[in-house]
Amino acid sequence: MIRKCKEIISKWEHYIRIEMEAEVMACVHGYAMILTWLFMKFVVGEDGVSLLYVVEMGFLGYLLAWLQRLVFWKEKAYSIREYRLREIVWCALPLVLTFPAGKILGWFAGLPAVCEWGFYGLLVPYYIVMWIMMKRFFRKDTRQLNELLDEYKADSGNRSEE
Amino acid sequence: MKIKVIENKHRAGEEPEVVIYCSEENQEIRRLVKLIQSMDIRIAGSNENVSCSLRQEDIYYFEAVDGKVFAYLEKEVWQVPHSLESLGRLLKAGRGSSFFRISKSCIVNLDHVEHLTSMMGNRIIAGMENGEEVIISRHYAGMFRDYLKYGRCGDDTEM
Repeated sequence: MIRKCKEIISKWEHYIRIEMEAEVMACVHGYAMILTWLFMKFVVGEDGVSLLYVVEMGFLGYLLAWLQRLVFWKEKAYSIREYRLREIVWCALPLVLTFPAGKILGWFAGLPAVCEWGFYGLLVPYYIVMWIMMKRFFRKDTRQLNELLDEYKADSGNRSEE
Repeated sequence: MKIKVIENKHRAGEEPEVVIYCSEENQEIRRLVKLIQSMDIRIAGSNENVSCSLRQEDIYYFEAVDGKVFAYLEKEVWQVPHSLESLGRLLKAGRGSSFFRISKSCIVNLDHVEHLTSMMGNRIIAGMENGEEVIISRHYAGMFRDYLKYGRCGDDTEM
């Protein structure tokens, strides 16, 4: 009984962790969109803010985070070609989805065109910079992991020699 | 306790021999014998009609496929009559041993891991010395990092 309860708790912890990781990314996307949209409205001198649009951007951020997570969902070693392809999809998803979402949901209805172009003009470099930063992070993490592996091997060699 | 390693070129090809000199065989000595014996665990492997005894240092990784567990050596693959859980216990995977559970279906020998690559989705790819690659799953990646850093992992580790 206790073992079963522990298993259920462990599963829930696992699901909650996945959800939390997706939500962190959702906040990053959602916040970037909302802030950029508000900034562009401020630049063109618009004061009114539609809460519906803010909620929509929040939801789009959440959707993007989950779609990006699904791109690397499978627990397997991808081939270099497959990994590169998924990386491109991961990076392109926000670019591909934000533009039609803005059009369909009418985030820029009644606003000067500069507002819309400014919005995408700021978001596109942001997504690209984020991708470059992620690449840098994984390169650094790989280097640290290999240093740890070397240390571990040297250490275990020393242990067995003692 | 004094420890001495004596190299003897004339014993080339023979198994290493451990001799313990002591005034009497006490608890400490018995523990030491057990520890040394645990380093020489051999795993029975079978391949069609052939059977053999596999030395743990020759095994690169174990993988469970369709309910069967296989030991992967540099070039050979042998089926072993154990579950991954029992192998984990037998090899003390993750408790000062060079074997570590890296996914639901795989235990890897860290001594044969050549390089590691951090990937998106919080997973790590382990490149083996024979050119194969195995994946350290999201669930085990954190424990794996701790194990490399501190040589141990949490008590709740499912080996």
